[in-house]
Amino acid sequence: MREGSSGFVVADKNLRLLRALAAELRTPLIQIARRSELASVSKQQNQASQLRDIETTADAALRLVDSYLFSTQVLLGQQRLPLEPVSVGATLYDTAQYLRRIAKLYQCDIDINISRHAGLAMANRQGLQAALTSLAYSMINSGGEQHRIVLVASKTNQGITAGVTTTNKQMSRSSLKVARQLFGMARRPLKESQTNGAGIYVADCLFEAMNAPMKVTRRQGSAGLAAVLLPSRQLALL
Amino acid sequence: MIDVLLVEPDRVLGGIYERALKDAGHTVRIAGDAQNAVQMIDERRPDVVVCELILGEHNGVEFIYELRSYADWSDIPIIILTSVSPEDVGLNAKQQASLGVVDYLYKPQASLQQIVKSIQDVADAK
Repeated sequence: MREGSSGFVVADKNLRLLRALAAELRTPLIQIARRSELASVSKQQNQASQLRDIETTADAALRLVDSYLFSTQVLLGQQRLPLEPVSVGATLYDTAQYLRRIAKLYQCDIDINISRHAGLAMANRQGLQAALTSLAYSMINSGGEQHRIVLVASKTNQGITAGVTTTNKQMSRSSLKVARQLFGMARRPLKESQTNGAGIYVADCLFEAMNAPMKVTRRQGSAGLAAVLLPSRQLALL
Repeated sequence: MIDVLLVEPDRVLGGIYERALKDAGHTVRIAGDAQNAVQMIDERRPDVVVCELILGEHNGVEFIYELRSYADWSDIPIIILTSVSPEDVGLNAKQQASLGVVDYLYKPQASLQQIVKSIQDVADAK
């Protein structure tokens, strides 16, 4: 804990999170600023494409701000996450739809893999969407050349798994561990990838608030992070 | 016109800087990380290296020290173009000069015009 000049007492953990979130949001803002500059001196036909890219980056940044604001409210206890039956497949589909444009700028393909039996899970739709957005955006940003991201929903014995996998080999068990450490105890940055871990941490907290701890998953040469949500009991009644 | 090696892990930003530098008449290659940068320098020695300090697995300052450890590459001018402020890096002007850093540009404030000018200064000094 430390006391700021204004007398506020803030935890170092919160300061680190604030700093990391601000750093994550700075990247799209730099992109917007520099692309605007480029557009202003571009020929007319290039200008239209530059403006489209600016719009895409600004939209992605706004969604990220929304996700982070929502997460912060949850973390501060200002927002509850009431659980209700949610179609994980439909949430994944919507998330993939609006991430596709920003992913394209990073030459990253986004796919969805929704098992027919995924069905309804006990979750909070806004929380689930915010968690998946934070997670996927982190992976889009930290991937190398021509990587692929898959938003996955499947049914397992434990429940319904919802998460994001990537062909980026750097995503590993230690990425999640280090992201947790970053805001829990250590000061070291997330070394294995470009992301500073803030997006992973935010997703982790949101899943935790939905009683679904996030874990590392591996499938068919990809690695990722996912949470197991409890299936909706409505299914059992059908 | 000079040969620029841009070490930039963010693909989108890298593309924007590349466009601006190519429009200014320079040849540009982009390396996404320090390892890739070393390979590219080995293939063809650039006239200037423009380098981010947050390079994922590697620290950009370590990369600069590595570059300086090779006799053939010890005189390649380096421009730091980074999201880390000089105060946070802890590299003072004297240390920058001893590492052959000719300019330190802070990304949130460095316009494309400033970046192009900084490269042009290296070209003019050649």
